[in-house]
Amino acid sequence: MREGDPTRLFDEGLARVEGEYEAAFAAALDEPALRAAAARYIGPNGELTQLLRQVGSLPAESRRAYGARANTLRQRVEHAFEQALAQLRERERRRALDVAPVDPTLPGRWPRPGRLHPTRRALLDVVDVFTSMGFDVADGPEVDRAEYNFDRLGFPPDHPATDMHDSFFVRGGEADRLMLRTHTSTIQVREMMRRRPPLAVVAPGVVYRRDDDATHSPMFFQIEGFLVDRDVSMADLRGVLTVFGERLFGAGTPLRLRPSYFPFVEPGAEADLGCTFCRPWEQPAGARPDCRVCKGSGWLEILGCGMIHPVVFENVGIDPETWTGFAFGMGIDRIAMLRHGIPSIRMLFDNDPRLLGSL
Amino acid sequence: MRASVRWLAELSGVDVGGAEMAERLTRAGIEVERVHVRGRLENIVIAYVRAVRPHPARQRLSVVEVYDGTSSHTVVCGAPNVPPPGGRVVLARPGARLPSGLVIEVRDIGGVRSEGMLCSESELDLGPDADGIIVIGGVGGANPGTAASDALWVETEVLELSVTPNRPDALGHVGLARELAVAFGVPFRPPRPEPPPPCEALPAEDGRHWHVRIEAPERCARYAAALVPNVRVGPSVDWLRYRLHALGMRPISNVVDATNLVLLEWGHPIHAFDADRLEGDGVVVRRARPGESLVTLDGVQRTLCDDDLVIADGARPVALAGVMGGQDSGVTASTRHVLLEVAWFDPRSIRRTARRHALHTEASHRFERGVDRTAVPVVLARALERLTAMASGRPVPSWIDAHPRPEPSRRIVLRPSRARRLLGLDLDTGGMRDRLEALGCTVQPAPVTAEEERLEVTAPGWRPDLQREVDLVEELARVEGYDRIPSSVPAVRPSALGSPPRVRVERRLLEAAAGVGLLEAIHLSFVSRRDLERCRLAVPAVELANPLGEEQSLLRPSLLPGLVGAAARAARRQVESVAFFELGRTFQPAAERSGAPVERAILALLLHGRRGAWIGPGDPVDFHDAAGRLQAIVETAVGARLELRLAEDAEHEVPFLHPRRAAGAWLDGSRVGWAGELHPDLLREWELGAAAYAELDVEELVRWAERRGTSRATIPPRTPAVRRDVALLVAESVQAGQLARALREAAGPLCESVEPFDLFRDERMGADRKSLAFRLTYRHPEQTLTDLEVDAVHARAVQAVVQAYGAVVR
Repeated sequence: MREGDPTRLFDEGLARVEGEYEAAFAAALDEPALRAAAARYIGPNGELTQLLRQVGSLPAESRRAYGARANTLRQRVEHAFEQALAQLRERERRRALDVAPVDPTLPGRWPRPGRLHPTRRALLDVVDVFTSMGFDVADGPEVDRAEYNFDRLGFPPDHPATDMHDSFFVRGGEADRLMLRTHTSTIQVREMMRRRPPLAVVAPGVVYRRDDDATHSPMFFQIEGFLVDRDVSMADLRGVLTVFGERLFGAGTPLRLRPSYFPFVEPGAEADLGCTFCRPWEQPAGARPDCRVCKGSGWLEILGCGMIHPVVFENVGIDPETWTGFAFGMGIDRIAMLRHGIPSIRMLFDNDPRLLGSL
Repeated sequence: MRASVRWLAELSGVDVGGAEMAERLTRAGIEVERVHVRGRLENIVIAYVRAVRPHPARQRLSVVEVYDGTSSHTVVCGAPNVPPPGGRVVLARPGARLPSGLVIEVRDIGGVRSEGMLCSESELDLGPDADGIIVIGGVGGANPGTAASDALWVETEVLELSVTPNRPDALGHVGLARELAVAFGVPFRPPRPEPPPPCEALPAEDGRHWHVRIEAPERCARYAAALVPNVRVGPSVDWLRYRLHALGMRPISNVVDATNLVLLEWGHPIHAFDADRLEGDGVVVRRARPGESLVTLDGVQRTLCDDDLVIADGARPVALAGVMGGQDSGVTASTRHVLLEVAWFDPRSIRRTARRHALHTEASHRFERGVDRTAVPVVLARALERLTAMASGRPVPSWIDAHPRPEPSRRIVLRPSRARRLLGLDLDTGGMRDRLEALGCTVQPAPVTAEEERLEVTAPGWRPDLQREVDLVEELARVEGYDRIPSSVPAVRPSALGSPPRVRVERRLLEAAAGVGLLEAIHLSFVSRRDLERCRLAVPAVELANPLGEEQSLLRPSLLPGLVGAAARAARRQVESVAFFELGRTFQPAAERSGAPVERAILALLLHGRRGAWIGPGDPVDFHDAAGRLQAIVETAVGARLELRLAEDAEHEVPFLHPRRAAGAWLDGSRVGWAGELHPDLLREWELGAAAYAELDVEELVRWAERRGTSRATIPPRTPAVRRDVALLVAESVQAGQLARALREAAGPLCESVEPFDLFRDERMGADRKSLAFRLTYRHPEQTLTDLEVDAVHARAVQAVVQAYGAVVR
């Protein structure tokens, strides 16, 4: 091979690259094509890369000049590639952005929404208030002995106090006087027999009474709560119930205690919350006389409560001189009805998907 | 219980009106449900009759000229008892509004202009009499023009009370008046009539001597009797009849009405016998003899049992003690001599008898709550007083007081410091004493030797509910007002145990089930035998002894009937596709006959109609919709993967499911539930379309979660995976799980997973054939596998299933 050949070939190579690359880059329609085009010149096996590798084999006197030319060209190719790439990406970005707007009124792509039952939500919300105050949650059987439903709670035998608890009995369960619990207070008895004080427990569940008319359902939800510790007072009862009312129905919701009678508490009370519908405590004029929820009284009867009767403590083997406590029980269905404006408790057990889905 | 505001004001000296009384009584724990405000009777006045003549056109009507003090009115009247001129009647003038809402207008009646109406008791809601108009008897009093409400006895306000069963004292006006006096801080002075001196036998006019013998002193602690001879039975005076009417009692005769008035006053029932209709010379209080019978005042013949207490004369039972008198010993229009009874009967005994005979009376209502046996003499004296005044009786000046069981003294020790601690209320001891005394207790300081201050309190006879210290504490709070109890939030000591795991698992299941698109349903736990059959559930169920009806006679052994019913109802309401779940208890009869039923918490889900597609109708739901949701719920809730295995004996195990399209849901070797399509017969029975169902035993899941404890992490491998796919043509009966297991086993330890990714059926493959494609993932824990290594293992695996299942590689 003659001495001048390497430089000539080198010249031709540079000229070819220089003449081609811009057109090649411009012809690339997408990023892979552009990268492939760039690789033909400045990739590991690209033409310009190979030329640069040959600089060392050029005559010593021309090496520097050729090296400089090749490097300059390489920088221009690289620059052109970067520019072409940027243009290409910009074009793609524009394309990606320039699409028809979505129709957000079409349904989301998920089969169907699910919901918890309104009574369940009320129940869980009530439970949450008390668990956040440190109460445990407990449960017990729905079919229980009259011993737990009545006797140990201090219901006197043959006493009109049981008139409010018209009970279902289980056929064949006569020996144990098996019945459907009429209140969740059975769990109070069971928990106090199972565990020792201090105790702070709430017990939600269904209960059964032989009432069936427009305003009663033979099954409904209740939650029982009780706190047993040293020196628990009626002021503590008021405090806990006040927190409950405020958490559930908003700060400032007033609580009123009225004397009442339940055999298993003494003193016993009925607790009323300010009507959550006409909210008289927020109105200068007080209760609305035509409020259809509180009937103008300004109060809603929400639960029964009181200090646990010493006879109950005695019946479960807890010393009433050492321990005192309070207990309360409330209907949950009514809370769900109040919240959602459901006019009849029977609707809650009808499970019409149109109602359940609306809540 | 109804109470007259007028009467309460008289007795208590507190004259504040019904609304204020209601408020204060309610705050004291005697709930007033309503205040009935009765007819104001405006424009209704007393008038003189000036002339009466027959109606010119209408028989049985008369035209009456009346004068109301200022002018004359012509009134057409249909009553048979229009008095002659000079008689006084009650005129409703045009514009008057009657209690029924009727407004009186000038009307033309048969050609006569009628300028008002002459009123009956019933029209003014004063009394029950609707047979004729009110004719005011006697002289003096009401002049023409006097407002009827001033001239007549009108109970303008009546309280409707809901008295708790611990407060028998509040079932009489005296007790209520006492509460009012205490609430308003005024001294209370009830009427205190003195009874005549007691004797052993009551001499009667016919020479008999009446005795009282109590053969069942455990049931009758006190029995007082007095004789009132020569009564004149007739209607009561108007004010008494009106009062009884306003308080919800029917006026009967002066004798009976007088006893009822005393009942309403003292809350103590009184019975009046017709002495001439009693045989022998005394009454006996005893238990009924088995088989004895008695016709009670309501005309019902009652067969008695040994647990019933009766009052008997010399021959037979004459009253069901404390519940209802006998028909043939009661007071009638011809009664001459009355034997009065004021007694104390054992509350439990009365309640059992009243319930056994389904007889709830004013008397049984009070006796079963406990009347005041110390008040017997006063009540008797009051009744004698009333009878003398109202039926002109002249009582024999003595009475019999058979009193075998005086009330045991209820001396209760009250520790003021305990009361203060329990109420969180700072009451001083002197104040406590005053309050208790106002309620009728006697209070003495206990002997000074006690370390702690103590009061010795004796409760009054009318408060049987005051038995122990804590009852007195309630009284203190009640009188003080519950409003005064302060509010303090206690520091609850959290338990180490916390809530049981079941509570948490159930909560998560609920949220997970809603999360997979299910609506929560809550049904009553009752079910009928018929609906069980319609659901193909041939299982034993717990029966109620006293159900509300056939439809609700059993406790549900399954959640299926409730959910199927809801889906059917929804379909009838044009909601053809629903997805429900329910979490609740099911009940199974105990293994041994008398034990408690087995309750299990079950989560069940039911899909009906079509699966929700994004847009468009979607396909009918099938097995996999139910199974997939069940798996998703369990995995979300407790992180477990359910395995579904074809039910081997579905006809017997799950007869409500399609026998070929049902599977057991398994977790670590135990079956925890079922999934499947509902049986076609069931769908037809309930008129449902495609429906899939799944259920899960929550108890099993809780046990599993407890056993497993906290799950251990699987550390993701660092080496790359190599994937190979294979599509296999197999018989329809071959299950994907079988092939996957076989592939996995044949591929050995390098195979990490085998997942089905395509299911394809085509006529060209032949009927009963399907193509199942699997993706196998290979990985070595430490090395990078080469294609060659994987190809060899994969080929072996494929070859193995080809041989084992006659599969063809597609």
